[in-house]
Amino acid sequence: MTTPSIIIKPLKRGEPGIPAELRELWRYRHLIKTLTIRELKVRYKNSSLGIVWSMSSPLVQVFVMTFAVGLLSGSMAKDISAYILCAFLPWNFFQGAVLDSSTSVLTQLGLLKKVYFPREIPLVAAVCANFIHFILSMLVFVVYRWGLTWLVAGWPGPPPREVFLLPLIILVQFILTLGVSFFVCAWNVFYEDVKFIVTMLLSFMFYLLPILYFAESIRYYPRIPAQWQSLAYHLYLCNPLAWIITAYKEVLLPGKIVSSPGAPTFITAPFDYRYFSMAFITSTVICIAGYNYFNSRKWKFTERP
Amino acid sequence: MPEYAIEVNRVIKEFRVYHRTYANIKSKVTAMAKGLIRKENHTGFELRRALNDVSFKIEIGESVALIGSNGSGKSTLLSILSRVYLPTEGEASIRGRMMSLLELGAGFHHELTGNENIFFNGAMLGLTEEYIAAHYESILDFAGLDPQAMDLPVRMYSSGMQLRLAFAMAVHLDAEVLLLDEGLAVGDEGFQEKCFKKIEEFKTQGRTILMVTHELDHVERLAERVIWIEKGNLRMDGDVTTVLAAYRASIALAV
Repeated sequence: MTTPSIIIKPLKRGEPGIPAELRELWRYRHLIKTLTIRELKVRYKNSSLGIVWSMSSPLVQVFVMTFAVGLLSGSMAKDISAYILCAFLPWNFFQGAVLDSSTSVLTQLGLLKKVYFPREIPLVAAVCANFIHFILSMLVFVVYRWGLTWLVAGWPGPPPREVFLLPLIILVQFILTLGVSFFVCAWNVFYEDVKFIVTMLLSFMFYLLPILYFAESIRYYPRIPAQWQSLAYHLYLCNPLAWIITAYKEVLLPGKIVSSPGAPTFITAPFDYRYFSMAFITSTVICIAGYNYFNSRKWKFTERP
Repeated sequence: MPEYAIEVNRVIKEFRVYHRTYANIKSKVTAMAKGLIRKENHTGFELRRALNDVSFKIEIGESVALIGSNGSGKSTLLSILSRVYLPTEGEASIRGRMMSLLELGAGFHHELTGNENIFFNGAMLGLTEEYIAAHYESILDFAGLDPQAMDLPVRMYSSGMQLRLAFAMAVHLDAEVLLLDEGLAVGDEGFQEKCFKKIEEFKTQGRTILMVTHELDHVERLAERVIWIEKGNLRMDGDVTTVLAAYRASIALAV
């Protein structure tokens, strides 16, 4: 092993810069792994069925939602639950990661006051643990769609050919989630009520995102004047999370004919590379800005009044 | 030219001491509003200087004790060297792998078992699992804890057990620079003796030790140089007998 030499001095604005911070993070990758595994163990070990509970809870929630949506809209589309589920799971990842990471540094503050390790590690571990949980729950989705549905209602057909883009969409979501977590966590260290505000915003956002409905519903929403509908739809998809959630539906499930009373019938749009590039750029910018902001505050964490 | 393991160059550390602390936005906003009305400075804080222009150099292989009364800045200095705080001004550098024991069991994750904590601690030092596994036996051997205890979460450990494990890790993970903050005060006689032996062995291996302690007997036994810090200033730096004599004299005067 080499003998590293550490220089300790006050940092100017923007020092030491993202490449150096990432190198330091890489040096501590084993700690990220250890903490991630730890978080997952805590999540799964609490009861005898552990992982089963944690996987079936979104399923149950989605069935309730499907029922509610069917009741409200009056039209019970037969495979709408698959569309809700494949949007709800990524949303669950985003929500869980942002909430967990908001408190992650604060819970480890006692440790950070005694031992040095990069301040972003508890946050990164919280996001990673939620990410692994998300990947596992996506397997549940696969079983639901191409196993259970097949058995009960017949073969649902293969996913669209854009399914090979799924890893990229997951990557974009990971970047975005990390970026938002950086901001929320850095704020929450100094003002603990940020967490409550974020919880509220998240429950509000759930309805702003195309989870229970389709993004195209905005385009054909009867109360928006016809000349604004297209603009509203484009603006709506400028929100990277709205696009990401739509994209999961677009690459995993076939386009859908949607009709509900009072609204025109429409077909959901196919995958659009322009929105993809835009969401990719926005997410990356948010992530870099978030990391920069976090880094500018992180040495003050231990001096928190 | 001698190589220095630790260099501290004109380090100044200022902390903000707030007149009031705001743990939430509401109290901050109300305070700001009141401040606007009464034209007061709502973010009133004072800067308290914990370290005032401290400089010293420690050669590789030296063992040095930091002494001084409570609140003199010893622990702040050690925290800066451990990279818990950044200095306000000045610079410090450490050559070689550094391990610090700032507080008893501080590096432990209390929900993890003793075994897991060994790996967790190693990961915190940026070490690989293989590297820790290679040193695992010697850590267990030195700590001398019950094998059953190693599978219990650390929160169930007594302070003595935590110290044993913490110290065993500190001395077995091949640190070249060891920072100890009052680490030796808790263990039983037998374990303390074991620690002293280990530190003496460390000295012969050419490793560097910087310790903070109030036990002057420990200083006499383990250190070859003493740095005395008083109210954030470096008061005296020299061989054990001279500095300790001056320190004792000043205590006698104060009492």
